[in-house]
Amino acid sequence: MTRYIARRLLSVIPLLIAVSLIVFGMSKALPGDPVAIFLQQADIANPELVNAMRDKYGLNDPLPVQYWTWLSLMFQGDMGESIRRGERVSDLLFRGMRNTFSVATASVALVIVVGWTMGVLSAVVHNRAWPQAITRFLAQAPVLMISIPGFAVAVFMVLIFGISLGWLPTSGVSNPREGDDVIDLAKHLILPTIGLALASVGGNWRLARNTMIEVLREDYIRMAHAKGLPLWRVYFVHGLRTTLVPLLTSAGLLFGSLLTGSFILEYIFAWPGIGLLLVESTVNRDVPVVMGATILIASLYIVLNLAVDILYAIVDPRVRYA
Amino acid sequence: MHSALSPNKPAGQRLRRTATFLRDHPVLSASLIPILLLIIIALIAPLLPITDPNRANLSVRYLPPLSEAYILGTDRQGNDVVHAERNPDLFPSSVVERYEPPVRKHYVLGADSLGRDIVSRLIWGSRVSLLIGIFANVAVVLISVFFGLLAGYLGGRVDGVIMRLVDIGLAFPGLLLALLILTVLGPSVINMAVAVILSSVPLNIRFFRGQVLTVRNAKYVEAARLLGYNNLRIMFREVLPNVMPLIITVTALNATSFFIFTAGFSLIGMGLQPPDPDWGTIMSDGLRALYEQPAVILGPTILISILAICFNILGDEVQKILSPRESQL
Repeated sequence: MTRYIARRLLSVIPLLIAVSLIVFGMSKALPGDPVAIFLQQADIANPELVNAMRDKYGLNDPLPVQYWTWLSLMFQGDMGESIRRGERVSDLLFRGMRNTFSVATASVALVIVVGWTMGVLSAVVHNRAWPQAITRFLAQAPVLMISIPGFAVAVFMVLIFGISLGWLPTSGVSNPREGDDVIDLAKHLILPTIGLALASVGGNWRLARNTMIEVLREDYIRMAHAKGLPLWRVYFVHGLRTTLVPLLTSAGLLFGSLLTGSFILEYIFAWPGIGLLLVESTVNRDVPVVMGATILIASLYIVLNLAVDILYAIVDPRVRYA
Repeated sequence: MHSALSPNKPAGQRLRRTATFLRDHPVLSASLIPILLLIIIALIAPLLPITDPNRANLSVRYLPPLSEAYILGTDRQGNDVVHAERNPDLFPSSVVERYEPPVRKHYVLGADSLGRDIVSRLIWGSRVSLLIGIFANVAVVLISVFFGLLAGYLGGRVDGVIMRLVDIGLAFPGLLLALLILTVLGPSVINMAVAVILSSVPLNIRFFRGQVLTVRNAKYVEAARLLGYNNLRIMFREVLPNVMPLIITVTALNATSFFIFTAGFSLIGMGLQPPDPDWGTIMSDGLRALYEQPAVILGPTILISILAICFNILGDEVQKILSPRESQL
């Protein structure tokens, strides 16, 4: 076990180095000299000044030196300053991650409350031979949820609840007139959360239903029935406990993937998370922010995948020898 | 499932078999209809009686759906001058050649922020999505099947090198790699295709490699090896045909995500650049006009949803036909 974990941990290091090289290479491959662009915007066109600034920012050093400087500064938490916003990149990333974190948490909560409940209920209904219309609806509804793209759901909801009915705000995290109010934040969270989570609600609904149907066919469930236990006890104590294992894995994976931000949805809702930060910086060619956000998202993703792999190995010993 | 598609049969018989196959799988056939319809409309777009998708007419800005306007005449460049009112005196300076009486023009889905016909923009825009959906799909499948075969069948060092590269590609979640590539290359249709291809190849290689691994040690592959066939022949004549049917499922799934990718990139301004129409640029235009004219964003959104649902159903149905046991529930 320890050897497996050590091997997996070591395998992550070359991956992180490769990612950092790609991001660094990308920043160098971008057309246009950032210093020249910056000075042009400030209406200063002076070749000597450009050269002085390039010296100051180390842009005249050989590439490996530049890469090393960038990497060592990053390990000290210094990712430079945003060209457009004049703020430290680490501050921007922190703020973006905080907003992405809140919508990701809300989405996972929605998946658990709605997806799991509906899934378990549809499995119970499937087992009780209810009218076919209901059983079929409960089996097909999640398929539809999975199929509609998240941003289409987002647009439909914005049009219905935001514009036609005017119940909910359609963009941003807060209403400036109301200040930092929890209820206000919750209102802003509703639409992005549903847009982000709907497909996963469908996925978990289907997973919960299929797992529970399988579980309810097991011998120990028949045994529980034979013992004369009340139905609710058989379903929700004996059946549910086994069903929860794959569901928990799926929720963990989902949370990880949501943390890396969905930039199309964050763009539609103007939700200032890590995804929107990345999109805006990309469009504005704000290179330090693009580099920082990319490194952060990719490293987060690699580490989360590693954690999942190790957890799997703990649960299922066969994985260790594969 | 080979029966309907197998070669060396007379054309009439093959057609009849295809018809029987489609009748036996009504859900699959139903999901194919919108997809084929879109392909046909996109292909014949230049022949359709629709206006130039980039022709702006500010007087019909944000015209609601199902309304009509009047072509008063043509201007110096020979373009139609459209006005919401019938009165020809409204545009005396720009109209060179007047139509008497003005020609009526229907706006089935209304007009956008520059008064361009949304139906026409949607139809012309579908060509971009279609181009990427087909072109990128073919490229992705060719590349992934090739490297998947190499990695899965040869194993060893080749497998190691390919899979390490795949791991690096997979370290960037979702659209991040595509966004990075587009940032470096700059936004355009071709670059969008390149970005979509490069970012979805790693996952596809891993998938096909996994499938090759399941076939690799089958008896017939072993037999071919004992017969002394070389690796190339075994890979392409024995292993590949058995991975082939999966390509349909993969293509359908890829198509869904490619439609969404391209629309998404154009929406955030990294794909097609205005004024050229594709579904993403129309959405981006509509997003800015949610309050003035919500109908603008509705068209592309509904189209993308319908296509995504159809491709998903198609993929599911093909999967069911290929592995009936796994889809019992």
